[in-house]
Amino acid sequence: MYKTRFLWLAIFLSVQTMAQNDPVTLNLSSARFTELIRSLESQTPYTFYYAPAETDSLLISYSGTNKALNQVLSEILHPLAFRFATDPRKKIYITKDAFILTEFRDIHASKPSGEAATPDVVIRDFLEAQPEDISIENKVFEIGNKDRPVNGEKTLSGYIRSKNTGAPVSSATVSILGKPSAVQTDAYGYYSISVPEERSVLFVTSVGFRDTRRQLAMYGSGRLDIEMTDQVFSLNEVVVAGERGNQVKRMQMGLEKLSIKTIRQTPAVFGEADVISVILTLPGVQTVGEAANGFNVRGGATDQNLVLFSDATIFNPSHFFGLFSSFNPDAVNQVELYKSSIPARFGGRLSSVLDVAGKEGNRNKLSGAGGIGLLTGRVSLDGPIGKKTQFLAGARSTYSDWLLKIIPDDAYRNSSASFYDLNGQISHYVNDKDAFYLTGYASRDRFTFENGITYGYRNANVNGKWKRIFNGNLHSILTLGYDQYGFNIADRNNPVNAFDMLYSISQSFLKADVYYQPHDRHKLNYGFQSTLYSIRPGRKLPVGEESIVMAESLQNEQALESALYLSDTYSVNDRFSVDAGIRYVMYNYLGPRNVNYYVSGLPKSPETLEETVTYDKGENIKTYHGPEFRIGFRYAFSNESSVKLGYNSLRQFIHMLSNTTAATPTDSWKLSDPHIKPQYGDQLSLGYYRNMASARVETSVEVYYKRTHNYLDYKSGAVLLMNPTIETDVLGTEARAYGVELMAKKNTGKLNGWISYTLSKVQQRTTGEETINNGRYYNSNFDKPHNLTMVGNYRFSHRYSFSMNTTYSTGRPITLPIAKYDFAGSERVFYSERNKYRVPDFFRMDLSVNIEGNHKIKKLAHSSWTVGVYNVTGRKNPFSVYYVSEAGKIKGYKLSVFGHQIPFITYNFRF
Amino acid sequence: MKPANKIYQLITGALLFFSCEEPYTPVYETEDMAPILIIEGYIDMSGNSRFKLTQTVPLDAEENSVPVKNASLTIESENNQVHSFTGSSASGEYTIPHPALSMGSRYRLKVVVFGKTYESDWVKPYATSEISGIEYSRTDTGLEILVSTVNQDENSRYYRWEFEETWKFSARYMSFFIFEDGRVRLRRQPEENISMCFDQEKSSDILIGTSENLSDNTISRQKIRFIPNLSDKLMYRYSILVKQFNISKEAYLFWSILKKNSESVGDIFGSMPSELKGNVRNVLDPDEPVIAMIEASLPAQKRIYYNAPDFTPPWPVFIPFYTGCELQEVPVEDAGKLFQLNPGFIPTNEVFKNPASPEPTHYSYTIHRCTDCSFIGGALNAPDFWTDND
Repeated sequence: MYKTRFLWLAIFLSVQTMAQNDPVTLNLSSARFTELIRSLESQTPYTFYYAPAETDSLLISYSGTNKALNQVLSEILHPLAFRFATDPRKKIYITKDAFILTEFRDIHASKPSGEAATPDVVIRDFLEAQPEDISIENKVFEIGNKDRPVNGEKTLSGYIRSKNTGAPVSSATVSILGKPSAVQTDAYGYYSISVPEERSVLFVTSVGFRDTRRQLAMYGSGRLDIEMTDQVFSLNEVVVAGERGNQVKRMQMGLEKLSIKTIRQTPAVFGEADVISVILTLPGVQTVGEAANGFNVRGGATDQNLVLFSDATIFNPSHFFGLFSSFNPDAVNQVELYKSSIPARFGGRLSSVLDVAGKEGNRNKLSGAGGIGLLTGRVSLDGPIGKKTQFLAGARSTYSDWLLKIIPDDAYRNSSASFYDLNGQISHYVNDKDAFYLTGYASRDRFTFENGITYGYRNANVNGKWKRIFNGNLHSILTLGYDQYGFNIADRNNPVNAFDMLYSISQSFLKADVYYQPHDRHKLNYGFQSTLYSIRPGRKLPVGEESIVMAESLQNEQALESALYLSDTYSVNDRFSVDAGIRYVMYNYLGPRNVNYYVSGLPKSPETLEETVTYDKGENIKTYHGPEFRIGFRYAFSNESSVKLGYNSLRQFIHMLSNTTAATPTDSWKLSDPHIKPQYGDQLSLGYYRNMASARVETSVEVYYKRTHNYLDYKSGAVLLMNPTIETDVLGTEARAYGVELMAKKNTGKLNGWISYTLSKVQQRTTGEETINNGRYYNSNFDKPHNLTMVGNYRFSHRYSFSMNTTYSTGRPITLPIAKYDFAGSERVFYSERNKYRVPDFFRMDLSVNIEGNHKIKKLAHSSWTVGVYNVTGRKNPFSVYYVSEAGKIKGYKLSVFGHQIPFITYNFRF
Repeated sequence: MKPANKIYQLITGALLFFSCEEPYTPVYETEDMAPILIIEGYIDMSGNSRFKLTQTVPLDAEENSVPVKNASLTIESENNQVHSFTGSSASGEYTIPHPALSMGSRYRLKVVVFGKTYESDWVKPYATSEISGIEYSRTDTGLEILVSTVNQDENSRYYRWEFEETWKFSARYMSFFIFEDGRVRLRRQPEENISMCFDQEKSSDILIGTSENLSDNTISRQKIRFIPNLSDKLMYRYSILVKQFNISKEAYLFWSILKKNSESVGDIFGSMPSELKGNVRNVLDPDEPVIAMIEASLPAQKRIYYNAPDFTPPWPVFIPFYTGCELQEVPVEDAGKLFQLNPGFIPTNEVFKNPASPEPTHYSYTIHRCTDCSFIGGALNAPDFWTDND
């Protein structure tokens, strides 16, 4: 009733602009909406009109003294997604979301018809900077030729961009209202969706942006670019609302998406927003301990994760031995973790793909961001270069030496640690069809010991992409890139033994991905990828005149991995869809290289060496090839629930050599060769997804069973660095992993966050002649059966929010000494079976408070403070257990990496 | 080079500010609480093999292992020769009497203990390769003893060494005099010596080496012993007996795992202790752990002597045990009374304070522990093999 009145009033009555400067004073705490209105009506001459059904559930908290009415209203209403308008008769109309001013009578008008029809009516919506935005959602966009309408389904495609910065909005969900399926924009903000009916409403949501819709009149296929309004307040309840309901609709299962905003509000050690530490809160993702390099996905090893940063493979995604991840949060747009159904376009690693999408530069103005924390500082700058080109440059470094200096031990006081990383990106949009992207990443870590030994490692990556849109149904991306990782050890302790040891791996790759929608029910994705690996497995060089170290160099390794893939997402009907993909991989291990061959059936050792064959440059030494299958089914029971089934198989030709529990910076990578077979794994998973409370709460259950073959374990005492015959020191194992993952996620409201619980098991066993635990299954290093994680954010007000991150997990397995004895004149210790015991359970709670600066939309810089405490309970979570002989008794100690509370403070800014 | 270890030290250090260490006592499963049988020794091809049988003890036990006191041991050859010994031994040490064995057969050890039968694999005897040299090398911190060998047999490239050190040393003050029957007199008989001792030490480190990575089957200057500066071992005369075993690769692996597991395991990156696989198992329960690597060997032996006075620069000695020792003097006429009343005082030497008289005026003396080297475990008599002549 109110609504009808309001509509007529709005159209026929002229509005006096900016009439509400009347001062009001409010002090409301969780007050009902009616209370707010009563208070405002008593202080001003205005009368309010609103729909009780839309407002009766709202609780308002606000306080302000002598503030202008319009400011008060916008501060209260806009975060709640309400709008208001005023007319000269001192009436204020409050509506939710769409501000329906007009009927759809003039769909060809370029201006909102409300204005055109009643030019003397000026309705100001204080939410949008420009009034014409108000009704872009109400305007009908005519696609195709009205006079020659095409029957059946049409395709609509285009870019979704941020209105503020012009940057593409990746992973935005685009759907047609009332249809259960949805599509996602790609990393460049590009979408393509089929529209079955002529009159439809296109609905776009994305994390960090206000939901938007477009009225469509589809007479044929065509293109529509859409701008989304950035969410101004970064810790607003609407922040994560954009993802609402997507998990039910999207085809992929086991896909976790995180926006950089979610990452930022999760407390991390030293207050630095950290991609990997947030990844670790997701179900199915584990780590062997705090400050350990790498992570384990669904029982996979750390080397089975493909870590991509804007298509660059990052071989070592951590700094400072795992304290920080390699990604500068200001250069990251969003993060996707594929842990079960890995799209066919990805390959080369068994367990997961962590796809970190870099941020694109601002299209409209020069902007920047940065932060200063206890140990690190970062800064980034981005903006347009001309009309068609944008850039982004970021840098981050540490000044952690002060930390070492205060350790009361000379050995550390004289040590130094440093790291930095650099990001760069240039995107160039030539025209509507062609876009070019150039991305670069470099990082370096160095730690110098007081005794003159320096460890260092570095990543260097560069790639260029050409994206071409042929038409709304067909586009392609061609990527050419180069990735490199290397580490070095420099020993200057004793001039006689001074040496440098260097290791490096590099890969050049070319890949083409084509996205083609031949029919509204089929979405094809096909392409090829070719990667040329080159490894310099080790060079040891004497340094200085006095050094007697023998120069030593291992033969380089090279291989070519090529893959062709094709996948089709077929929507059988609105409820049932199938995603079937095949990827055929061929791997060639190439010369020049000398390869040892051993007597078959016997353990490989110098004794069983039969012959050494020399291969020439480019000569094929060994070929492995085979298909990989990626199959998924989705059935939606309703808009609110669906079930998905997936099967995946993958091959991996590159192995990380590591015989320690946690990954270390001196772990090297080895290519598959005639002896070390490629790893092969497959996974079957089943998931049920249900949205509750109008998609405000998403719940999911996923179960999986996974097998891995040819995963490497090591013989006793294996030396992995500078070993020319590594095949004599490795053992093949097979692993099995299974588990169930439960997750409940609340995306909206003052309180948002997620709870996840994982029950899982991962075991391995040796398959060759030489065995561990006599060839029986034993728990893998990262087998942690129970894992419960709670990540929550509570917003007290626009400026203050409170975040918490709580994790519980079973302790990791260890091999314990169980008895002692005398042997060969010394006391010895006898160990249990491999990984028979566990360290005590892990529990940690982190808290942080985010304090935003004031909320003027237009000001020089937005700043925020993050203050928090890592490990609030101070629990001494054991990372490792070790034994020391004291007065004839052997005593056990446990070492906790972060054994007490660690407070942190970080200042962040952006402009 | 063990980068992982160094890095963990460094991380532990870097994180020392935050990290902390606490005692840790795990709860063991019952099957891991059962003692494990340990057999040390080898089938001695020259005859009379000796074995030592012990059992493991919990980590927090005071003693290191407990001897197995009643056992039956048998050496069997593939050509059906059997040599046995059944009996008891308080120390767990058993000798199986047998003559020299033929190199042409394979052998195994069988042990019956606690009603269970344990058998080793059949092992092939290894021929001896001679120790070609033992030499020493002075470093800034001490003295290294190095062993070299040249082996003609290409099939045995794995070596293990044991050694036994013997050295002569003296207490802080030599006692040349003895108080007996109310008077002080010169010690005349060698049996009356209390200040000059011999001590012995057996190797306790696992000493293994291989020529596998070399073109020749040669071990050159392999370090087997390090004597730190100021050690009393090089006070007068030092001898080392080095025993060299040619071992199988399997045994080499066993010893190297044992060696590796004895080093720090469980560092921050969690280096994995390896499964120690011996060649002896319970006949009825092959999964029962047994710590033993039985080999049939004919070790090569070589003994060398070093005389401390030959060293340049000289070898300074400091024995912490004698801290606080000092000499006192007593006039000759009061000596009888003093030593009578204080049996803890031992006369050491005579002192001449009157230049005009050839007679001693005083005796120097000190407390017992400062002049009797048996207090720190020395043996007063030279071992049988000992010779003071080079």
